[in-house]
Amino acid sequence: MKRNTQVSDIDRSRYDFRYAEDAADFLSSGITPEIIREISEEKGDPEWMRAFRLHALEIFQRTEMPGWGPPVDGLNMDRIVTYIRPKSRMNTDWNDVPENIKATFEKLGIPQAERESLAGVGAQYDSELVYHNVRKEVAESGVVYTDLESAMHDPKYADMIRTHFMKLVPPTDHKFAALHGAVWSGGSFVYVPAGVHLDIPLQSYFRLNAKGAGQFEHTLIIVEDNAYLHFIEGCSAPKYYEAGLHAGCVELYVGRHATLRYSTIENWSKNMYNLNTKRSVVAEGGRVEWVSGSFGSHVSYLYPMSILNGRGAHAEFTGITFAGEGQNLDTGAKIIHNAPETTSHMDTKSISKSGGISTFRSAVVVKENAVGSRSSVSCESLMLDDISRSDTVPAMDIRTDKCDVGHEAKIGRISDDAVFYLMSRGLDEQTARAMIVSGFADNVSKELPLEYAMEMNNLIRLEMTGNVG
Amino acid sequence: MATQIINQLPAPTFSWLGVNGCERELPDGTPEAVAVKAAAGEAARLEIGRSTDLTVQGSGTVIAKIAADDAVLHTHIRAGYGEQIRFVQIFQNGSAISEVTADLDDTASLALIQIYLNPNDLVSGIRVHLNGRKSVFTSRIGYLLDGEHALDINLHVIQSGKKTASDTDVKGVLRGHAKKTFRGTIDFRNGCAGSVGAEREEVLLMDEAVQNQTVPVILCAEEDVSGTHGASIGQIDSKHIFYLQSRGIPEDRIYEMIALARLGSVIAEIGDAETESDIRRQLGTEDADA
Repeated sequence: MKRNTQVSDIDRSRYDFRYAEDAADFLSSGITPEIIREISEEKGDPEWMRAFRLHALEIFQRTEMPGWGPPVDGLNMDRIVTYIRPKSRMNTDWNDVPENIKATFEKLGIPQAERESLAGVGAQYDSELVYHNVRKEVAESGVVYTDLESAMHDPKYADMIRTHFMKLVPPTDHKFAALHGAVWSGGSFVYVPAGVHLDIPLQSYFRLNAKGAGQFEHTLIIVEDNAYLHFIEGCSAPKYYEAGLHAGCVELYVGRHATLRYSTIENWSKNMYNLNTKRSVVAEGGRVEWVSGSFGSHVSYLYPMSILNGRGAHAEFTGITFAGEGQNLDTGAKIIHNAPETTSHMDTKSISKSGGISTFRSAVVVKENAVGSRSSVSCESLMLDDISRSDTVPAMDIRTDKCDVGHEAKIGRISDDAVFYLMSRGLDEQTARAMIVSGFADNVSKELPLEYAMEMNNLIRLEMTGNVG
Repeated sequence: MATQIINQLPAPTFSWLGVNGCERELPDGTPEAVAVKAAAGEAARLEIGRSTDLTVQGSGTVIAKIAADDAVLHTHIRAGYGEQIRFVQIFQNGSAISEVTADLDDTASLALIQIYLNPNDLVSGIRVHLNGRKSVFTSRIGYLLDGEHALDINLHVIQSGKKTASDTDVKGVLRGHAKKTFRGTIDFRNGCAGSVGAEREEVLLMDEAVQNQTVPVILCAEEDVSGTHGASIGQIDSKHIFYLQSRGIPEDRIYEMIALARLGSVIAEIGDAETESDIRRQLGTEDADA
């Protein structure tokens, strides 16, 4: 009798705890001009931001839902609470953070990670940042790492925010970008001055605790010429039966010959709709490196875009998606070659099991002026049973003859030949299969700092039973 | 004339790419109905110059040369148990909307060979159902496109039967301001255990104003399958150019040779000497290939 490899669901128990919310902290659910004005009032927005929010709302109201991708029928926008008042101002000392919020981040290991391996940490709880801190020596090098609201009100950065905010991802981009523009709250602002090489990463962690709420943080990072930054983003939420929404936005500006590595371990609970937008623009000789692990959410639309605007700019996307029961994860990347001699590479893996649906979706566009550009895409999918689904939908649009674009994709199950080979080297079948599945995720884990790679490997906990006859 | 979105991608993607389908006006008029019973031995030959509804059955080779303007061509192929059909379409000048649908029973096979010789504006849809156990579909598609001409291909292979196999190989050359879209979908349906599917496209881009869109899709609802697709788009490998230049061949000539050789490999799949010779004569490569 043939028995399939058993790979357990992701163990989410570490993330699945919650604290009661005070209903008085919630703004009304739904998305109306009154609510947008109220959010703006709560946050003390400058006038330009208030006008921007209301304009984005108009765009949201007239924009259709996307006509492709997973269904979002279960998302009732009239029931989503878009803003929850903070219980605490932003702090720079964990001892000043309210006890239950501090306990939340302790359980998630954030303060410990900050002590051991990070240059700075931002922690968002529901709608607002509750903690932000950066090491003294890092701050002294001129690196700015703070919440976006503080930066917007700081005379030193206010113009920079106004110049860059939602310029890469305009509200007209799609319906949920418009929603984000209207109701955004929280998120981080990072500025790395020219020539500064930050050897250890910064991390922002986003926790959505409240039931039936949305999180709409905005991350804006500017890495100036010849600088280097590794930024890590983590997110989680406890599970509720009511749908939650994450419609964050990430905008990355990478200067000439600068490098920005952006790593994400996404582990939202399975009631979440993760409709996130991430985009970078890269100047001459610059590099952007996306490392992405998508494990959570009920539905995900996530395709970080890299716009290679300078000669010789480079983009890399390395990702893994694990879709289990009740999940429909549509992930991938988009790369626009918009300057000569630009290069890009995508390497993605996906695993589907227990009825989960995983879709790899990509776009590579080589514009007329991108002569001498090169791009390669590789995607592999592993099906672990016959009730799941795995699709790959890549697209290439090439507008110049002087380029080289390659694409390859593979889909299938665990190779019997590979199992046979490993068994011939003395491994038992269960160990051989476990090794193959672990190795399948290796492209992402080897790109992460050790402690995050270990967390990711723990997320894909393997339980092998039976054998293949 | 009615405007319709045709050649729709089975799994739509980002709308801004404009690859989810193509909009065309469908010409009015009643098509001519033609039925062909393929048989072993001599190939059945058709010259198509107007809108046609063609049905193909039996076991054997059918060759259709198409040179029409504003024509709509529907072809339905039915391969019964164990039948083997080779269907060749050669599209020459003109503009047309072509749709080929095929149903294959157990152990049936269909070899589809399509050659596009610089048609003005051609929309070509192919939808093949591998319903039968161990049914096999192979397709070899070659195109040469120049000037302002446009070609839009949508190939959808649906593998439902157990142990079915599909293999698609597309080779093309774009010149001038030519625009081409190729959508190729391998669709493994639940229950098609033991099936394999492969798809490749190689596109040679010869002028800076060409536009190429390639969308190779795999849809998979079955565990026990193996699917691959690959695409290679761009110029000729510099090592090949260097080698041929070292043999005294000028660069312009090298590009011509390789472009025609690429199409030549698809022409060689037709399996009918007379037709192959005709095409080579049109391309001016008869002597070179002889």
